[in-house]
Amino acid sequence: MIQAEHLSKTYVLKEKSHLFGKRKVRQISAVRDISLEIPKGKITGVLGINGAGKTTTIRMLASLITPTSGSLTMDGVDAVKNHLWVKERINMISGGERNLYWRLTAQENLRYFGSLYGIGKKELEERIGELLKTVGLEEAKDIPVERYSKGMKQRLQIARGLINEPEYLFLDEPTLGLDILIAKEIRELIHSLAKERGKGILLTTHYISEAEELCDYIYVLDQGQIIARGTKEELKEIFKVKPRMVVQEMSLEEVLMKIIKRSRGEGDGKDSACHEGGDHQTAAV
Amino acid sequence: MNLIWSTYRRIRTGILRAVPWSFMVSRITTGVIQIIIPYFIYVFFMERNVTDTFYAYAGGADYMTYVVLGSALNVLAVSTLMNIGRALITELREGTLEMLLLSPSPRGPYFAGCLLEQTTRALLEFAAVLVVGACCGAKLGRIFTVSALFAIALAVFGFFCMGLLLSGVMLYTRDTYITQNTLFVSMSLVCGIAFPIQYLPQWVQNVAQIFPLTPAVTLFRNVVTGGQGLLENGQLILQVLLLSAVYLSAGFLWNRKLERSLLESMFG
Amino acid sequence: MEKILRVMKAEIIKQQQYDYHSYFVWCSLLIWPVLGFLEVYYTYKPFAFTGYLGIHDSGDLLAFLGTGYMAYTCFWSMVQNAWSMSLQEREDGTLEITFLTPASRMAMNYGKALGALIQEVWMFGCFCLFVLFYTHTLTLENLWALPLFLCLLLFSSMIWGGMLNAIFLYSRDASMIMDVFDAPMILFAGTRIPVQCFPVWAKVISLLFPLTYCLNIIRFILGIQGGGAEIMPDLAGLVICLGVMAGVTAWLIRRVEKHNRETGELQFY
Repeated sequence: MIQAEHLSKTYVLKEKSHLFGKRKVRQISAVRDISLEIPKGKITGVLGINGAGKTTTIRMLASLITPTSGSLTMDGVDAVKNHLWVKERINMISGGERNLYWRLTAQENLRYFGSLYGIGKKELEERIGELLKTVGLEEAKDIPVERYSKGMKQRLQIARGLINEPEYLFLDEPTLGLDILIAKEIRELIHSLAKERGKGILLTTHYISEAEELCDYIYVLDQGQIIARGTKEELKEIFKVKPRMVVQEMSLEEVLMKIIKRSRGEGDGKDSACHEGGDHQTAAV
Repeated sequence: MNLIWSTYRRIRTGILRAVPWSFMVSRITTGVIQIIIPYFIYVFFMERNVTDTFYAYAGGADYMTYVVLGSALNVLAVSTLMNIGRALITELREGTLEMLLLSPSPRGPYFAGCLLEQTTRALLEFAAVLVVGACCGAKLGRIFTVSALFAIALAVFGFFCMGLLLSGVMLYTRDTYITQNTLFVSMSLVCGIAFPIQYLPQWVQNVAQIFPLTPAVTLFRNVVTGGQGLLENGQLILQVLLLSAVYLSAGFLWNRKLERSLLESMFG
Repeated sequence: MEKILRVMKAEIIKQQQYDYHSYFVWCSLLIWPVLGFLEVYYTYKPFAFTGYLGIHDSGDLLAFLGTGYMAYTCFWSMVQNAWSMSLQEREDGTLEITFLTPASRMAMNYGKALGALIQEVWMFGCFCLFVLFYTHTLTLENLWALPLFLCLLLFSSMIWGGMLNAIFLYSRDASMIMDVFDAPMILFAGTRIPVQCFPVWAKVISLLFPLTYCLNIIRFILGIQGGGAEIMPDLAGLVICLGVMAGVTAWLIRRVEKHNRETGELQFY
């Protein structure tokens, strides 16, 4: 389990007005006194609006930046001091199209990143083969990443994030800017990583429906502080929200899914619509 | 006239905020290195053993003065070409080109404003190189004569006209680094900066005539070291003017065409 | 050790696959150096050779300049590569991801430098080798010295490049420092003028540059005039220089990572 206790992060900004001007020092407190846990086999969500401190939190937990105060342990080991040990056991995937070498192919990217983890050649090739299959990029493995679509790049990022078989995975807005079909595929993949392969996953997102679908436990972040925590049921309990029967029109998203599935000849998509639409039927007010 | 001033002021403030020290430092260092290396060769390695051929080619100028004048004018050329050439593409990169193209103001005064703004800085670099040169023993007494100042002004005008065409090339290729450095490396090889171009193969000497720097540097040397008047160098002056006219018109025509296609791609 | 070699190999292969800006490399590491080489060669034209320091004619001079330019281009390519790669990797966000791995930072650094060298310098290297064969500096009899000379050059440049990579990790705006640093190296390291003819103060400055020792040794091995008469002092100088640079690199990398973990700056560009 990854355990964070009373983590805070303050950035010190040095500003110069002109070349020989005096430096102004400004302190920005990005995250204040955060305590959270990431157990294995579960998906932990961190929700919040833009600028709430989600990214700083995830980067601190992934040992990319050090906390200004507080303690961070992974399976009982001090994660701040032993960051290289931690880095062997974790990985991070961010949304967007960065973090890959665009002129390299999928296979070349994975080979490079795999080698950085010191994985032997034979094992690495096997792992790359499996991962490409998992994320559905087998056929595109020899095409340079610059010719990939957004969704393909995101799937390759996931493969990259799994190359060292991490025990914990940090996902920073993994479905950012993706269309509904691909976002759904990626959500299913995330779900199976936690439930079937027992990985501890931390997910930040500002798509509330995504969090509701995936997360076992949710932390709500605002202005750098945790303002609420709990399972989704517990969170709803805060305002005593009772389920109520609502007669609701099918949302445009569901309609779109149905249209796409019908044109692809994949049935009428009834099951998925029920699953997707789960949140609409118990809409909290 | 107003536009010249407003362009001048705008660029000036931009520069004072984000001083391109790195460009200035790098140009001065290049200029100084272009003096110091020949100086070391001349004084320490070859122990002042200059051949008679050199004196014949250089019209009797002493070695250090020859090199310093060449290098200083080269710095002036590089600085002017770089600033004028990069003006539009910098606007493109910063996203302000759109506004400039949409405004009804003609391009001529805009570039004149750029020229005015950059000449002050370019002359500073030019002077820095001359001072180092004087320390190395170059005889620069005649640099403050009317003829020498005219030669400098004419050279700046020639570089400015070439800069206009360069600006088109940069805008077209969307590249500054490769274009400018290839041009500058070639110019310092063929234009007679550190050695008389007569040492180069004949065809290279012919190619060198397309750069305004070649006649300009000869004129500058004739005036400063040879003590010649402007009238004696009528042919060189004519060559600079002719080249300037060609670059000016080519630059203007091409820029206008490019602007049209840029506008179409922005709003088309 | 095996892991370290794996990381270096991965960096070298990546460098080749990525092929950073091919036009850029062609111009900056082949055309410009060749033109610059010619410019310096012609700068010597106004002088009469006196045979001082064993340079009797233009053939001797070409061999001297050929080695000087080749070694300098290796060192210079390291500067340029460190600059362009640090920019590119920051923009792509890949720099931070490589720091998310537990890979040895030193190995990554040296792998990058060696990869760039192999990828970028071979063209101009061929040109210089041609010059050396043309001037009969390299003949069938002393061909054995060629691998020695290349290994020495590659190794020294790699250590130098590793240090530059570490510097550019630290700051995005190190280009100006490089400008200022580059010019004295051209002048004092004996790339274009033999250090032996310098006055004492200039000789002292030249001792600061690893390239000086490297060039002296290369010229000694190839029997080119204008280099030193003895090899041992240069060898000792080079070993000390390389040791210091490796130490500085290790220290810088540790500092950079600590600094970046405090400020999160690797993600900015």
